[in-house]
Amino acid sequence: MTELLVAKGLAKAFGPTNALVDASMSVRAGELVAVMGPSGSGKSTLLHCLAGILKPDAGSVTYRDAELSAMPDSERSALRRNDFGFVFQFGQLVPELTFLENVALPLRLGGMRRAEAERSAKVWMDLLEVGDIASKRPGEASGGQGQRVAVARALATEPKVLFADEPTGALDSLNGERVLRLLFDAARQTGAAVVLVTHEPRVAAYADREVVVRDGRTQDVELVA
Amino acid sequence: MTDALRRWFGDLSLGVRLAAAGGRGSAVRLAWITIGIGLGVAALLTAASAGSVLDSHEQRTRARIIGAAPDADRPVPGVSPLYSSAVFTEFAGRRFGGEMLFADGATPPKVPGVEVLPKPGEIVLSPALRDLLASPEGTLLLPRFPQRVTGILGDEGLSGPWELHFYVGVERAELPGTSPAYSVGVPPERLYFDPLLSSLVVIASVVLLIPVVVFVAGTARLSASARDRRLAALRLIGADAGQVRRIVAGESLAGALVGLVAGVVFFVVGRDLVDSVSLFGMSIYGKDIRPSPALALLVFLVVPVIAVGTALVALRRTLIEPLGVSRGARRAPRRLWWRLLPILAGVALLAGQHRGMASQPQTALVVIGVVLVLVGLPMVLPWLLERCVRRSRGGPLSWQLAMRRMGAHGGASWRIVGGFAALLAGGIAVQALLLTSDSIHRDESWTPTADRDLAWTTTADSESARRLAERLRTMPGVRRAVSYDVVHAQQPPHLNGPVELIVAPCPALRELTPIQNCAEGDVFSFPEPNGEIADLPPGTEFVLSTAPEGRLSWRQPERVRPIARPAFHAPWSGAGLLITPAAVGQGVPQLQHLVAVRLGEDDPLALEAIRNEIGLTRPLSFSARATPVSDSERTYTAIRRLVTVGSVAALAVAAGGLLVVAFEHVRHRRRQFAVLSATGVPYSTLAWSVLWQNAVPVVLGTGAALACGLGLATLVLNTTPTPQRYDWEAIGLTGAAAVLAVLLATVMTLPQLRRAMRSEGLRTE
Ligand SMILES: Nc1ncnc2c1ncn2[C@@H]1O[C@H](COP(=O)(O)OP(=O)(O)OP(=O)(O)O)[C@@H](O)[C@H]1O
Ligand SMILES: [Mg+2]
Repeated sequence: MTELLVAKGLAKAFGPTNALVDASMSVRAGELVAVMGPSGSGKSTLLHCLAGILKPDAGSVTYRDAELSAMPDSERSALRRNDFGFVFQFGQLVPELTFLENVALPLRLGGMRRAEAERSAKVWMDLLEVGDIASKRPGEASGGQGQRVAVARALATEPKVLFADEPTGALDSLNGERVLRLLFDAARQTGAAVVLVTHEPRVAAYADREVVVRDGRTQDVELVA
Repeated sequence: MTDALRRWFGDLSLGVRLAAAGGRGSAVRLAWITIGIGLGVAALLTAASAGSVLDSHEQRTRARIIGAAPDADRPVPGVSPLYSSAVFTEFAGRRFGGEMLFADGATPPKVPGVEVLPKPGEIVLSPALRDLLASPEGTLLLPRFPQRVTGILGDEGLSGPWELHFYVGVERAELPGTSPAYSVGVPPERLYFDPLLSSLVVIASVVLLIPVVVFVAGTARLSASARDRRLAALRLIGADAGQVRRIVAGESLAGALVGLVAGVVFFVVGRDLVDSVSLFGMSIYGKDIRPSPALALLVFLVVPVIAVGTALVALRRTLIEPLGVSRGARRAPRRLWWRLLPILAGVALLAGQHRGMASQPQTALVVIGVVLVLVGLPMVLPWLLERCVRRSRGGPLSWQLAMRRMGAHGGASWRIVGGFAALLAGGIAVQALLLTSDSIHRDESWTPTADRDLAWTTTADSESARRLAERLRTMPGVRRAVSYDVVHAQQPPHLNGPVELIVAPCPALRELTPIQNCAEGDVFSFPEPNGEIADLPPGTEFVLSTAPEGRLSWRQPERVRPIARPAFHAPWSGAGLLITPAAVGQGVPQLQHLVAVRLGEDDPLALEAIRNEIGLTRPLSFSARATPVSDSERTYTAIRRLVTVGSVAALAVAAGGLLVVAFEHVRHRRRQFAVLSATGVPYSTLAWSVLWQNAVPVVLGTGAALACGLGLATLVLNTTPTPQRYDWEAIGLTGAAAVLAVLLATVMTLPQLRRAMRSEGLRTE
């Protein structure tokens, strides 16, 4: 399989804290990579570097052979808009907008007309079984529903890579399972690769591959399913 | 190209959508932005109309002056002459007037607002005067207007809807010495603007602009954390920096445009109101309040530019990265030196214009100085507040909570308070300026103590003077009344004080002063108030007339007997002679027929009755009372009241902004409050912490504003040669309003706080 994203020798420090020391990993098209590790080990930092949200102090991240840190902000924004999708633990939805508007947002930012964007957003919401709460706002629904909306939004642009940082961390295990299953199914349908940060080995079991982060260093664990 | 444009438009409209979205919290915020900017815009438009108001007022009063144009006395074919003389009367502390008219012919010149000129015994009234006469308060005035009302003055003949004015028809004989006029009105002239007044208008505009800036800047920061989160979310899903900027611009543009529309509505509604309600004794026609087109355009441009500009500047400071501000670096502490620059520069400019140092104070520089100080104040205040907050250690838990929270998220409320302080300071400065300029127009340089009860009036001839004195003598409130004639004569050159020549028969002279033996042909002499006798040797010549037909003079006879000074004489008049008619002889040309009255104790009712007895066409003058200003001279007082009301209103709006901050604060920290309350922190502690958080900035801001405003007023007044006075009442009022605003803002957030502390606070997205 072709390597979509390749990170080599990443290092990142926040003041005196070394979040990443020497981290390397790759993501191939359509695969599901689980990133595991103890709290504070640098998982989120690694994910942010991979997605071009954070600039590493050292090392390189290439997406389809293009160096992320060499791109101007507008190009990286376009990349996030078109090729990447994000689901975080919470807080990534715009609280002022309805769920439908939230899902349609990346499409509209990409220049799509409002009506068209909302029509295709509705399709994704139906797919994630939240079509019935389209006109509610983030404060007005359960956490599981909110996360499913977030997944719908992340997938609406049909990204090549979906980054998920503990997307079910704030949910009970039953709800979490449901959200993850929907996420995986939808990602498989669009052929998106998924980089999933999680604490739970049970979740990691779904993954094609597992990357373990410890004190800012990566250990690649190839799972042979 | 069109695609790029469409995306631009898409980003902007997304911003507009975001401004309008978000349930109750943002609806309240948008409402406040609308009201805040709207009031600011309305006030700016009003300030931009100051020129048209003063101009119209001037034109209206000029257009009705009879016979004052340079060639008004040159006969015009087809126009019959009009004789007139201005009259003034007073009622209940209000001075107003009109004209006595006699039209000699059927085609007199047109007097503005008068359909048909009143004939003798008729009168034309302004609507306000008609209403006053018909009202219960006007019953006292009614006897002074026995004439038949034949018309009501139209708008074009009045300076304002509430002006008391009249035209009364009289016989030709009642207008002695007037010349015929063939035209009415004086050609319009470029208005002379008092330089102090024009700088006031500019300063007032700047002061009014400040709340607009503060509002826009403050509301941009109101929900800074929410906005940052929102924008971070947008960045995360791929909005680039330019898009975020356009979205923010759209957001603030929406508020500014809605505010502009609201402002125009407020302005138009307020303008219509002016015609139907008399505000603060102002009498202005709504149609005269026309913003200068250039200034109005400037307002329409400046307000959105300020809105978008401040939002973008604020955006530059809060770095919007995809991960939001939660993971951002610690903000650097505020630096003082550059914040102090505007104030220092302003003070230096004003001090440089100090009279004595500058030969001629330049208004423009004074205005720039004031603006610099007012702009600098909100820049220094956040620094001051931050210093105070960081210094604070200890105190009760509620105080600590407030200090920590302010240290972490002070921005929005500090900015509001900063603008609030600038507004207050500007208001105080303008107050002081207005009060000072007011005293130019109302001469209060001498405060009379004695002889306040002495008054006089004139009549057409001695006989009517005698009869009037007789009638007045019987009236309540009149202690004494006498009539006499005064001869106007040229003073002999060797005298240094004026000598008055009073002519009356013996009985009337005895009314003036005790005289033992008086016979026709006698002459008496009375001294100056200090007892000095004038140096008048027998044979002193008084020239009575230098008319070309023949010089007429009167020589003082041999025998002049000294007598006591008449009790009727004002202290400021000099010595004089009392002359019996036989001693003057025939043919004295210029006699003034006077009735002098000594009143009892102050009794406004009796006074109005006396004025009624004297009649409309003769004023009752006082020797030692300041004349009240007439309606048309009240502009300064009215503007000053307007400034007080304006600053209180603006304070209320600023308080509203504070309220929004407090609301947002509680709303966004619902979870924290809920957690604190769940861990056992009592409600009262949290309530007190909210109070502290509102009160500390406002108290500091008000203190700074008072100091700054008074200092500013002192500096500005130092550039003019006028004495300084402060309107402590108004200053106290504005200060009290500030304190009230804090209490109100706090009390109104309490229910929300209580709600947040219940369980539902724990549930947030
Ligand atoms: N913006 C930041 N400023 C300072 N320190 C940071 C910042 N972001 C991360 N860190 C630090 O870097 C280290 C790694 O953080 P990171 O969030 O990547 O860990 P994590 O593995 O995701 O932890 P968790 O499982 O708890 O989410 C931690 O010690 C954290 O405190
Ligand atoms: Mg993490």
